[in-house]
Amino acid sequence: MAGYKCGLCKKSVKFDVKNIGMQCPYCGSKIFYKERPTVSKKIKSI
Amino acid sequence: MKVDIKELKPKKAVLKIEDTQLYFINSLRRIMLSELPKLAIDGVVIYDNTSALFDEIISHRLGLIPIPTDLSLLTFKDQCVCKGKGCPNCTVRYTLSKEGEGTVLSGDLQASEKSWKITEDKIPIVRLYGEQRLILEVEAVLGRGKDHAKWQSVQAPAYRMDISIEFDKSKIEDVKRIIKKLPEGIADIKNDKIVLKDETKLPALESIIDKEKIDFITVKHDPTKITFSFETDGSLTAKDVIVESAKILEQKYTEFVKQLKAL
Amino acid sequence: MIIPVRCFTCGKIIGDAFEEYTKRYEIYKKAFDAGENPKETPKQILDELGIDRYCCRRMILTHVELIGESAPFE
Repeated sequence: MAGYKCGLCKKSVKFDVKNIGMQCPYCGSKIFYKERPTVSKKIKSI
Repeated sequence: MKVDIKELKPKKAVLKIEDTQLYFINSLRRIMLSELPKLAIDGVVIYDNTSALFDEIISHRLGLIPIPTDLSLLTFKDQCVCKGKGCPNCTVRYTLSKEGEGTVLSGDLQASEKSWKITEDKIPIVRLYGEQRLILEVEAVLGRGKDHAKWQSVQAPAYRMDISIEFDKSKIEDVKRIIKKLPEGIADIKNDKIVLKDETKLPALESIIDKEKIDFITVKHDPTKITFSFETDGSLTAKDVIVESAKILEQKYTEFVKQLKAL
Repeated sequence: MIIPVRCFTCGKIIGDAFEEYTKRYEIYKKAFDAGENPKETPKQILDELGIDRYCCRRMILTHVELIGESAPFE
C-alpha cells in the first residue's frame, strides 16, 4: 500500500500494488504525487 | 614591529603594520582562512519539508549561516571527551518549526541554550506559501576553513604594501597630463611625488602607465610597511579573529621547535 | 530561486540585504518613472547597506526572485 496525493484535489489516496490504472476515487484525476515518508531524514550539510 | 589600528569594528578591521615582512602577514592571513575554528551547522535532521526547495538545498543554506562562537567554551567533536557522540562541550543544537505563509529566517532557529542565539537573524532560508511546512533539527560543530568554506569566519583578508610614486622631474608636464587622465581628484603632485588620495585606486594609474609604456613614473613598494584589512561574517569579532589566529600561529611554531629539539 | 546566503566569490553574508534593497529600490523606481528626483540611487542604497565590493554587489543587483513560481510544487 503506497500513499499518493492527487494532483488535482490534493487528497491523500492509497493504492494497492496490484492495482493497474490509477484514478482518484474523489475527482477522477490521473495525476499523482508520491507522498513524503513520515520518517525523519538525516543529511550532512555540505 | 609596530601595529597601528586604523579601524576596528565588530566585523571589520584595518591594521597598519610597520617594520615587518610580507611572509609574516601572509602566514597570518592563511591561518585566518584555513585554520581558525568556528561554529557552523553540520548535521540536519529533517522531519517535514513541504516547501519548494529540496532538503539538501535547505541544509546547505543552513550550513552557511554564521553562528556566534565562543572558542573558550568549545572543543572539536573528534577531540571531545564524549568521543564524537556529541555533548554540550562540542555541539550546539537548534530546532526550527514553521508553517504557513511567510519567510523562514535564520532567526527562527531556536537555540537549546540562550547564549547561542543566532545574531544574524535576518537571512532568508526559504519562503513558504499556503500551508507549506518546515520542521527540522540541526547541530552545529566546530570546524576549520580548510575543510569547508562554511567554517571560514574571515572574508576578504588582504594586505597592501605602502607605495611611493616617483617621477622624472624634467617631464613634469607629461606627468600633469597623465594625472588629468585619471578620475578627478584621486592624484596630486606633492614634493616631487605623486600622492594618491586613496591607495586602492593605484590600478587606475598603473593601467595608464602600462598602456602608454611610460618609463618616467616609477611605483615603489615598501614591503616593510603593510596595511592589512579583513572582514568577518559575524561568528567571531574582528578582534577575536586576529588574537586567535596569532595564537594558532604561535602554537605551530612552538610545536615545530619542540620537534627540532628531538633531532 | 531565492537569494543566496553568501556572496559566491568572497563569502560575505548578503542574504539579509536583499529584501531591504528591493524595498528601497521600488521607491527609487517609482520616483524615477514619474520623472521626479529620487531620494537615493541604487548605488547609495548598496553603499549604505555595507555592500562595497563588486562581487557582492552583483549578487544583489542580478538576482531574480523566482521561488514563487515553483511554490505550488512540493
